[in-house]
Amino acid sequence: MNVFQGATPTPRRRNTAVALLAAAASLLSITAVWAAEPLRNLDAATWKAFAESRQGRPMIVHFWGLTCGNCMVELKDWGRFAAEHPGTEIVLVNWDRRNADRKRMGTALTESGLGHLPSFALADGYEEKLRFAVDHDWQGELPYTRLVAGDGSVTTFSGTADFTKLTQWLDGTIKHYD
Amino acid sequence: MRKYLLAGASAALLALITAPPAAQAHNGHHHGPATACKTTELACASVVSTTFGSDGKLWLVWAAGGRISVASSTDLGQHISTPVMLPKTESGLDDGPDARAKIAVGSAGEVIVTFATRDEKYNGHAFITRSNDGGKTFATPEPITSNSPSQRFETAVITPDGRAFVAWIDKRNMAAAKKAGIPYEGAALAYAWSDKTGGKLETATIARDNTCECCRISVAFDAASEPVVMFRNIFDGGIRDHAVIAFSNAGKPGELHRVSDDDAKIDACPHQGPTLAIGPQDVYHATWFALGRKLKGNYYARSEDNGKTFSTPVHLGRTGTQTSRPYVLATANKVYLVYKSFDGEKTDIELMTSADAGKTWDAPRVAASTGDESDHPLLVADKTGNAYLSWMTVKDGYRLIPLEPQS
Repeated sequence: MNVFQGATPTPRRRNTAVALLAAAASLLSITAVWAAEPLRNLDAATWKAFAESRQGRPMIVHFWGLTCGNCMVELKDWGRFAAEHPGTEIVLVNWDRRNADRKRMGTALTESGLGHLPSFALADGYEEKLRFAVDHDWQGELPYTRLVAGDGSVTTFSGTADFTKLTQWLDGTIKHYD
Repeated sequence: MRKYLLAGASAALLALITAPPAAQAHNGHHHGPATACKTTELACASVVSTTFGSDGKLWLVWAAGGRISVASSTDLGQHISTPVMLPKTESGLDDGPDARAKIAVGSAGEVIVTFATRDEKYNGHAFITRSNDGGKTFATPEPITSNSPSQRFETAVITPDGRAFVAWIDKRNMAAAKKAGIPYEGAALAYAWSDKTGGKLETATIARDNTCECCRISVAFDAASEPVVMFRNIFDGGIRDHAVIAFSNAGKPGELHRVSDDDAKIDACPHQGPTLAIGPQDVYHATWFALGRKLKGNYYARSEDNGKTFSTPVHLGRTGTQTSRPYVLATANKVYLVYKSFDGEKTDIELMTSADAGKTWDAPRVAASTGDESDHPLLVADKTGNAYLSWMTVKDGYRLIPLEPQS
């Protein structure tokens, strides 16, 4: 099947509750400026320990980049989604290569209401081996998201997210994102 | 939908990441671990672009240590001249995965270098500089336009009569639309000519609105010495498939032709632009990365009618090898095509050749390998048609590898 299915954005409902949550997310982002998670180097030790500590629980790993316009456009949507699902394990991985500005990454995350979530960035700016390890078939396109189910099975999609589907996946009403 | 076990991926990650950093030398160019290599020398470059002058001299441009450097070699890269460094830029250099400084050399020895920077808002600013003394000195780099919110992936070529043609991805119309509250997808393909040999660029013109904003473009000359641009277009319905435009009719953009129907309806940045080469009898050779609903992976196709129609796409590489960055070159007698192949530890550059203008191809063979990260493989030919792989690697430094036995 095509891993890119499901990448088509769908209109998002903007009801009052969401607006309130967005406002809350905005407040959270302000708070997060003072309590932002530091960007960790994406190396095996931290990644392995991180993954093992979360085994048995659903986790969303979202890869994004400052060099990716679509990523930057939807980053605030991820912030809203995180605020609406405070108990969900959401991990951000910045995939900007070579000389990427950590400070700019941190600012983008906090301004999007994502500063409180665990975040990784490429350790030395090189990514080929790491990308191969993440997924043999991933070509590095961004945004890219991996959904890790409680049983360890993984669903992936490239492109902007359909947050309604993501909620359904989290709720267990669909097993796979597509 | 494929499934992967996170534990397996993590174990693979561990095995790969704990490998020691590379440090060695090539042609006297010491290269330490990437994170420690901060100087402007060639060995510290992540990307290197090259071209041959009509006198057989190899020209190189690279970004390292926050500066653009230009050098040349008269012995096919064995020895590199003392680099000329361009002035330090106000903003950081554009070092996105598909971005690179580029160099073009005219038949009279004129040298043009283009590159881009990104400001604090991550807007791209493209610059051009020229040398009229054989690359000894370069003029102060000038913006390729007087006013544009963002420009990236600039590519310059020099026509046989010495005029420059520069094409790039431009966001001015996107910014204007946003300001007016009008929906606008992607960016635009823009271009500018120099007014005369060695002269200034004329005012930029938009050739095509709604192109993909994330990928490099490719420019080749057709038999009439008119530039043809291949780029990732946005077709109706948000389909990001590839297209070509020939700048015929006195340098104006001609009709847009679709290269293939990949059906790439996806709001993602592929960060992998196409390549276009045009051989004898005006045969177009195109390679690209597809991420569509119909085609996914890397492909080659050819056109015998000036890009109006292309052959059925040929899939490149094998599954599970992360085939990427295909690059095609057409000489008078042969077409060369390379791509990267990665097995988790080692990157191979696989080479295919065609002696019948791309109708049939021999089996891929490994032209070069490296044990660590590497730049995109590029192909260059000298004026006599000798073809070379130009490849920057972390472990083995810069390499210019002949693709045929040298006489």
